[in-house]
Amino acid sequence: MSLVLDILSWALMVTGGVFCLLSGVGLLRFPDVFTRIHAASLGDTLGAGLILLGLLLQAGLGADLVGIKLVLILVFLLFTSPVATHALVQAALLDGLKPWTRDGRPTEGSLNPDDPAEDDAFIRDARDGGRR
Amino acid sequence: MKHALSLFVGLYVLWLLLSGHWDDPLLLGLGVTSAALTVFVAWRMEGLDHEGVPVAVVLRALAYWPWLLWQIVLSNLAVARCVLNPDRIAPRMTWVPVSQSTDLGKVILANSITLTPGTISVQVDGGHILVHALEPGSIHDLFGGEMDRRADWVEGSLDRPAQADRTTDPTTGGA
Repeated sequence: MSLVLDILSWALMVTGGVFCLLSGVGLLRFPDVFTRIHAASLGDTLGAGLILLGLLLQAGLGADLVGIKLVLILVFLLFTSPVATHALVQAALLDGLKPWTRDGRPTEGSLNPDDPAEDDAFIRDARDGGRR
Repeated sequence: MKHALSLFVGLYVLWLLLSGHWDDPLLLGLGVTSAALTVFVAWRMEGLDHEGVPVAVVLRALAYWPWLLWQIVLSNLAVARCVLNPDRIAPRMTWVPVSQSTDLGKVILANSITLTPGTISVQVDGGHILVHALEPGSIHDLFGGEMDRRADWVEGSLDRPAQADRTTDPTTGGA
């Protein structure tokens, strides 16, 4: 039984490691910041998730509640990483970076830095801070 | 009051699970104190409302998660394919219509979009979300509205402002 658990948890951890590796490779191969963020989210979600799942099989629930802490790590990761991603992409757009496209034409939707949130002090600060 | 109470219970359960002390009255009492202090600070910061403590959606959100996790696995595989063959990528950024009417519902949907690799929600404006996607296919999926419908179901447990076109089929574009 413990052998089966070991094999399963190792398989999960190695697969998670492979996804983290792919995330790093994508970070190097993709053309611009926006596509690279997509690559980075690979390690954030399935990479971290599979490694934590493998660790969970190793730890079990146990008297010291390690398993619950591992699950909580995953939950907090799933709540916080989209926020960071969203902030990063919006900061890049507000700073004037143009998303890379295959045919070189601008994207059909865009964030007009002078229009949508002129009343939003936070975004105004971010934009003016970038120009200074 | 409902929000303060549920935040207190949630925090105390979290404290118990993290500390693992079940039998020392002093430590249990200190746990109660710290949880109560946190609730007080949240109340002072006016964070005790349906957005700060979204108890209403917890049950449906838990039912929504397995589907979302499965979507995350699928899109991870799609992005991994792109990493191995960068010629596949054709990034697009476009406004996608959403049918959520409350801020919390839009946050649930936008977070779900960002959480699945290959799509990032950049900006929310009225009934639309600006989405950057690695492959055109994932934009098509979003226009298909499956995720929108499910996030809508999670949002369904909230009091929503009445809306005349509530009955329109989201598959046709909704808004």
